[in-house]
Amino acid sequence: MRREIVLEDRHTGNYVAATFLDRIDATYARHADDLWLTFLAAEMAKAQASGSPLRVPEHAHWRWERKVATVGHLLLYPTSAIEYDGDAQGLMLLKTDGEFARSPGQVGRPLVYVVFLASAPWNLPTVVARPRFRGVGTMLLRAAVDTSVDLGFKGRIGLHALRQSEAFYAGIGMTVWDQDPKKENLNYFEMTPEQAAAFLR
Amino acid sequence: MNLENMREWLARKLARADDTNAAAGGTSLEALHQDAEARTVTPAVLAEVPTEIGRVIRYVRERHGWSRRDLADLADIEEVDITQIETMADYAPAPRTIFNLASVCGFSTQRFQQLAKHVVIHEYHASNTGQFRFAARSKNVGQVTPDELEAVRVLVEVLSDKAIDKR
Repeated sequence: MRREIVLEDRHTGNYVAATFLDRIDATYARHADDLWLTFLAAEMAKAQASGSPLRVPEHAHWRWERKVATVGHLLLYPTSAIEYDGDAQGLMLLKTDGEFARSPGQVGRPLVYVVFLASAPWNLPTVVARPRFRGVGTMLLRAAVDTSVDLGFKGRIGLHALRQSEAFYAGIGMTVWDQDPKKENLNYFEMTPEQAAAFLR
Repeated sequence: MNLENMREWLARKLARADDTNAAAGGTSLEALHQDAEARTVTPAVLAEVPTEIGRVIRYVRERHGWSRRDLADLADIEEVDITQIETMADYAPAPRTIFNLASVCGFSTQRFQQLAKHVVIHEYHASNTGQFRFAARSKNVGQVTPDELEAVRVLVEVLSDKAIDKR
């Protein structure tokens, strides 16, 4: 299912209509991989040639095709994408069963877990001097919260933040917990129903 | 939310927290594989279930790892209801049973009711227009091909589109 959303185009300063896709398949993910990895390789080569190598994004090695091919057929692993002009601007994989909250008052209650979330390399300030779109992460996270509400989980979501993005999750009101040795020692962030309500306002 | 309201909402959020580096991960592909294998329903599981509604319920139970008792407790119905749905070809569940099961399984109540009214069905389509059709099923039970299993998975996916309840 496709629906219209908005993103901020940083090149023009305007908000533009983009497309949100509920469910992508492995073919779509492979196309996004091709696009993103080619772009990243070209930027890395340019930066190398200019004598100032890039700070490679932590998720530069991800292959979305493998992730989607592994679990995308299972209903409990919804996938989504944000598209502009036919190109994937961001991708997300959720898990809607078997993950539970840690926050006081919410312990043991089900939540939506954001397994993977990433933005296209041309949107990342660590890759390009003039990133294209802002709002990709926020709109994807909003979709995760909406899914949680739809499932009766009251907006509870959890995720392990890549280091580069911890400030963002703290900024939208999520609570940081501890490092998780089972998740590459990344910090675990959780959103309570109250925090979700504030985020959606 | 219309686009103008969404634009205002997004501008407010971006003013508070810059999302340009937003990313989440940490799960290994191996862990994903293991979870997928643990939750994959095999054709054999559905082989003896005589109706589409029974297969749907069995499929959902298997995927969640729920026993009949677990599902009955979650839906606040009797375990015998689940047993009858999964084993009897001509069992007509009560409206409350249908409603509660749809709720627990995350199904569109409207579509699940449609399925329940057509206890024996065999054809359905999830098309871009959201059409949903049933027809009589004439196949014998006793075996389920991978294609039939995929058809049940698609049916569960269609049932899980609760947007129809809001239309």
